[in-house]
Amino acid sequence: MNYLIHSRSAFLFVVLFCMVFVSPAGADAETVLVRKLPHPEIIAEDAKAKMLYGEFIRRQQLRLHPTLKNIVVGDKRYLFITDKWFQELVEWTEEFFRQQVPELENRKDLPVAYPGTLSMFMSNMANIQVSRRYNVEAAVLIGLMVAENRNAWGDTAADGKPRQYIVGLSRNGYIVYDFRTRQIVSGKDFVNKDYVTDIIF
Amino acid sequence: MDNCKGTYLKRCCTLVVTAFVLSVFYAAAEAVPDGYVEVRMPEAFVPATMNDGSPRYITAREIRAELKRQSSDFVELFWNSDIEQFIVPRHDWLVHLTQYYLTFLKSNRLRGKAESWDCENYSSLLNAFATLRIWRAGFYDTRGAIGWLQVDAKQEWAGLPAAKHALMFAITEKGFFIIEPQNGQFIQLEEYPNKKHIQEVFLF
Repeated sequence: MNYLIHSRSAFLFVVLFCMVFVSPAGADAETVLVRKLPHPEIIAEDAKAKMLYGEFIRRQQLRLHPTLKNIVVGDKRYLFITDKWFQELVEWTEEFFRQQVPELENRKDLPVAYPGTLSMFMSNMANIQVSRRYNVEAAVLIGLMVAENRNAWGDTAADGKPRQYIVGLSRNGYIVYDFRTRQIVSGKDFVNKDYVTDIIF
Repeated sequence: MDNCKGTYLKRCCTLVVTAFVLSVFYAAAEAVPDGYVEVRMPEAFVPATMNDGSPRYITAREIRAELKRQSSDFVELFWNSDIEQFIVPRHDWLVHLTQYYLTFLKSNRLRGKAESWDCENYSSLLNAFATLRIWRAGFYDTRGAIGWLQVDAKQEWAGLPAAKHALMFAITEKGFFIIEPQNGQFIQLEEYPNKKHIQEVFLF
């Protein structure tokens, strides 16, 4: 009996010691609490997901932008998404970036690779959501666009320099996001639409 | 003897109660609020270094020249021309990042799905994770010498059939590497069986 009591208390002591002094596996690794990804919203037409063929987009963009030098269209089919979801994805991704790199808040200039990383991250997160929730063989169109800054836009002077933007395909056509000023406009209203030089979708 | 047994029992009860209280405390401390998920991040970025201890860089032109030398089907290297040079990661950090990524994919139950989650997504998301860690380490004027490429594979490699495919590539202190992000396999560019069929390469 004595032996039993001794072994039981010794066992409990070991359990308690482990709980207090030994951290759980991986507890020393950096973990962050991340807001769940916004619920996906794609556009449907006749009960089917509305989409455009990649090749059609490539030809359309070449026709719309005679100044276009490079265009890369990676997928075969692209989905239309709601403006609201595009906006939520922008907010989620930028919040995640600031959480990962808190110094971004205090910096005057964004990192030089910011636009490419933002568009890649956004499109991948959007595609994760689509692949989880919908049974469609198509990707969300979120990519990178470069346009020469020939016309002033808000506080941005017309200096003629190339500037990068995030582009999406939403209900009413293309949508352009300027991450420097946090403005979102439709492709039709984008002041430098006639000076687009590069597109990567 | 009875006294002694009583003392032991009291101690046992105290330990059980303490263990219970502590486990409740731990559970409460680790609870994730509604609408949030806990994400484990990869280890801090470690650059490859020069002899003087400064970080090692490579230019897009050097990367382009090497890819052009190895691939007869090479089309173009796309990169942000604002970036003059790309920081070279230390090889063991890159291996860690790839392993971290495999765990991330597994824990999020991400499996390939035509178009919406395919080889390009696997490669480009790993790239984006690497860039975030590079910024976190304070390197804001560059990005990693890590990218992704499209290859018209003629031979099977890393368990994937001969077909058009997207893969990762990276430059470390040990050289140019091709990486399959879906299973973490590495191979030196020179030994990669489909190196001649590398087409478009992206440093984004």
